[in-house]
Amino acid sequence: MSVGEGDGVDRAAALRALVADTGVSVSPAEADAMVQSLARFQAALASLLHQPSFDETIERFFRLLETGAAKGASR
Amino acid sequence: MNDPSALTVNDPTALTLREAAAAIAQGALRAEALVDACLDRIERLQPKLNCFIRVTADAARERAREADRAVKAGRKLGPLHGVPLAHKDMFYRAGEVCSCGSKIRAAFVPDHTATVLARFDAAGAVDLGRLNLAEFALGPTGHNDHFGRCKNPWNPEHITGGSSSGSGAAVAAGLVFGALGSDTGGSVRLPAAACGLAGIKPTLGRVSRYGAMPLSHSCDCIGVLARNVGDCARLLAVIAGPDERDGMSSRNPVEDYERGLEDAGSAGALAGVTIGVPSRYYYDGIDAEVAELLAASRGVLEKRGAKIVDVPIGDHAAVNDLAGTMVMAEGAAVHLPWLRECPQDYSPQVRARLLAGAGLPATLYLQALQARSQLLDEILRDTFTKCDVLHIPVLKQPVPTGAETDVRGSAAMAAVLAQIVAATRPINYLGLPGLSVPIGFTRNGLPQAMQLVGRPFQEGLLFRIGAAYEAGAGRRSERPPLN
Repeated sequence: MSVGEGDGVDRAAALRALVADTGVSVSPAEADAMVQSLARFQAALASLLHQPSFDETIERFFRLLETGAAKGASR
Repeated sequence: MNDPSALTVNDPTALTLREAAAAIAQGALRAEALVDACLDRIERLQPKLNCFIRVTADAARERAREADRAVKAGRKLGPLHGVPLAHKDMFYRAGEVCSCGSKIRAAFVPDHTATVLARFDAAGAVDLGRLNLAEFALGPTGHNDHFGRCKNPWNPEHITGGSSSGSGAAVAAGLVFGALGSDTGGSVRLPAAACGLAGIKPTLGRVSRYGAMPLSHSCDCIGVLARNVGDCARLLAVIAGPDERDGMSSRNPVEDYERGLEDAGSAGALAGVTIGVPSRYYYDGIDAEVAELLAASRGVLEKRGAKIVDVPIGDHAAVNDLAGTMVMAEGAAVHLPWLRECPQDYSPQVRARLLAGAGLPATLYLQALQARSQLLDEILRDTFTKCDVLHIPVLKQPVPTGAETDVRGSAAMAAVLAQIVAATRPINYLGLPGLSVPIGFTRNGLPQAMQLVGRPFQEGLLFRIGAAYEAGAGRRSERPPLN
């Protein structure tokens, strides 16, 4: 049985089909591993104490990095 | 540092990088003699270590002769004048094959030269060749199905760590004085730790990536490995700084790293420095022997004047997985054409890991990117207001053997690899600098290391603490017994 079949949705088959649409063939074993990775990554996001805010931009990370050396220095 | 003019240079490969550079500049050592000594050593040890993919002996000898002529002529010399280096085979040099450790790029000849190589050239370094690595720099152990596993000089049965496997082995074995690596999830710090070297992953953007093989543009950093912290500092100083050909390179000023090391040997060198030990994650589940070495290293830092405090830290298990999301998604995007056209040319492990990214929804990838500023903000606010640097492991276990980690694309792969990068990959996600410093040996005879992590662009402070530790612990460059 492929990973994810328990709830009636064969996620591995769905992922295989999705990736096959990009022209890349995937074996059933590889698809199972893909589903496991996906589940782990989704769990990581869900476990964050604060979900990223609506206004959070990707660019802000680089601004923070550029100025971050000074941040926190005032102990 | 020893006085180079007083050196009895029986084995010049045993010098540190800075000693070798000083000896050449002062005329006490010829660059050609040094290059010959390194090439002899490579010829003798390459069959045992498999750390080189290609040795460029003739070009290196010619460059060394030029270096000697420059010394004789009294020309102005760079900080690496005549010093033999070699680099991971993923940095492009115009007109020379760059395999990226792969079958797919076995005959790839780039038409441009990486900024980092050009900067080493300008500083006078002598390039001895191309070093082994994990296929496409995707793998933390040093296995490579196409070029063979690179062996750890301390014990060939054990892994070098990766992906900069050849960089770790070649520098530790005294074949070269320093090497470039790339670090997307620990690929500089892991081989440095496993091979008993200092290795730095600088802040994201500190070093130009122009002309370096891409894996994950959000996490890729170019770093260096050397036999001690001071040598590492010199190498990073040469390659750090803005580059108009890399839009993501930072314009933040580059410190004089070596000047910061001048009083590193003094008893109170770390007075006023607060070192934080995270309350969770990084020490969770750590091997007892490794924990003991790390505790002893904190004792040395404390004796040099540092204050050691416990500090809070966020959910870095999640941070580690978010890093995986970004690296796998970006890696898959880069490799998609080859995954389509020649999937059989990838090793099973690399193919399986790239495929894991190919199936990720774009929304998940973008959320992982979006969470990044919040998590960086959190560590700067909650952790780095209570300490100057973090003290964490590089590897949570003793360096494993090649057999123990030869998981290829099996079901065990994800768990085995995740354990190896557990303490390094979150730092890539956050873009922070991390320095790996050797702290002794576990009972299996393999090196162990501490990892010092700082605020963005605080590489100078990491070097200062690392060098103070080396002085306090009485460590010089230790070499494996290969003769």
